[in-house]
Amino acid sequence: MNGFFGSDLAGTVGTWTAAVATLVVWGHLAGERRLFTWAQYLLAGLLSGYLAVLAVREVLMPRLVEPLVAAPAERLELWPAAMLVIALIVARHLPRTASIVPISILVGGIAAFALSGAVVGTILPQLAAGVTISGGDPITLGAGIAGAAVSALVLVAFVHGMASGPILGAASSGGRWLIVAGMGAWLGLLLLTSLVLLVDRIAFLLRDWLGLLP
Amino acid sequence: MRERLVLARRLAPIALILLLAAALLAGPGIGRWDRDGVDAVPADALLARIDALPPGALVLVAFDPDLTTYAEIRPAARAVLETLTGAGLRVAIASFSPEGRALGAAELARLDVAATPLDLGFIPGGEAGLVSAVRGIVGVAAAGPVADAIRAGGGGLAAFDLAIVIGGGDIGPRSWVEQVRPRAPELPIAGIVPAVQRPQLDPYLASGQLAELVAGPDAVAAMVGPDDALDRRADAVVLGSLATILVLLLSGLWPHLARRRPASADADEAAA
Repeated sequence: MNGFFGSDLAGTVGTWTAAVATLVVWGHLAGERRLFTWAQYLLAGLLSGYLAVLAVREVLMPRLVEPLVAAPAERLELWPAAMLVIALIVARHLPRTASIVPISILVGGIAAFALSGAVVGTILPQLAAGVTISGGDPITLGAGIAGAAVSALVLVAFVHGMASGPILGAASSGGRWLIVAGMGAWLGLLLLTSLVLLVDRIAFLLRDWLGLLP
Repeated sequence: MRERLVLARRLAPIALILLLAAALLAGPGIGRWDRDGVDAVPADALLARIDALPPGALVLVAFDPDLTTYAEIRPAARAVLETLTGAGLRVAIASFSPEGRALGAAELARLDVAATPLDLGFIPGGEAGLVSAVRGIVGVAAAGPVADAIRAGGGGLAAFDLAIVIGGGDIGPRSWVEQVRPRAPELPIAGIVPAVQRPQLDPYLASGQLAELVAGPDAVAAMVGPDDALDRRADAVVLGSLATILVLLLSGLWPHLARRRPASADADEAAA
């Protein structure tokens, strides 16, 4: 039982809507495309509407408009943000040299946070954790060496296409196989997750919709 | 006739999996999934960490699961929310992704407890939002004892004693380790994620960057405790996995088997 819908009228309508939507999506497997396309339009429309409401209600109004209206002289840091928001809204009507500024700031900011976070939060601490193998038991030592060897082979796999000798070629080939093996393991876990979702949907139909399960 | 045959062939594997799952859910259960064999260490460790918190400790639940994988971790997410609110802790909930906000609001609406968590809402900006939350996460409109306690602790993520990140999408435990941990190193970060994210998060757990990690159906089952419906689902997933592997093998072998049919069969089919 997903527990999102109660037994009142709203809950009943929600359960029926979810059940019909599930059957419509599964109908695509039997070749029913028209209803499935409508379901896709419905999803896209609902998602767009939800994102718009979320942006206005939980971001723009409480974090930008209301503080600026309440104290425009004290919240000077919000004025550039307000100008960027306006520039993004009217970007398609601005000259390219002007419209590219807010978009560049947006893309550059996201990339900078992601890159710096990956270096400071993942690469350096994981390297430190991987190379600290002295004083450990043989299993830890072996795992550390194996981890370093796998990492090296996977990195070497990316040199394919460059001039290389037989040793580098073999290492590159081994690295590519390791990547394939890793992707296979990941797909296996994805299959497990997908099956859990499928079983959850079937349980929803049997229990919440049809009432066949206790 | 041929079209129907093609459709039947196409639907047969899916129908097999659906029927198996439905039979396992509705039937007496086959007990293929052994609850006693489940590794309960991750779930017990997270529950022990929650138990060890002093009364009134501040806990942030970062609710950012993915719509497509949330069903897998939903029982654990609910269990942890009920445990936290039932333990007399001061709980706040925030989301850094739109999907997480939708699911978090739905879970808050169905939560039937006296001490409702403080809803910090949606914090925009993705990873940039996480960085800004380190400095300040409480909005000016937030009121009440939990909001006051966070403000007294500086107003940012460092005010909390534990952060439990319910992940599955782009913003999850990895983002927290990368963006929050370097800026608030004293804050322990625990994660609850679907199985598919476990390979990328295990190294963070091993290095100590993540305090606890509950990942996958087994850990979720251990987190929830004995539950007949959950056990039946696990049974269905085990059998579904086997059926899927069988279907994949058959679909891989089918072209080879079809190629080895005797020539007379092809001739009969052409004549028909």
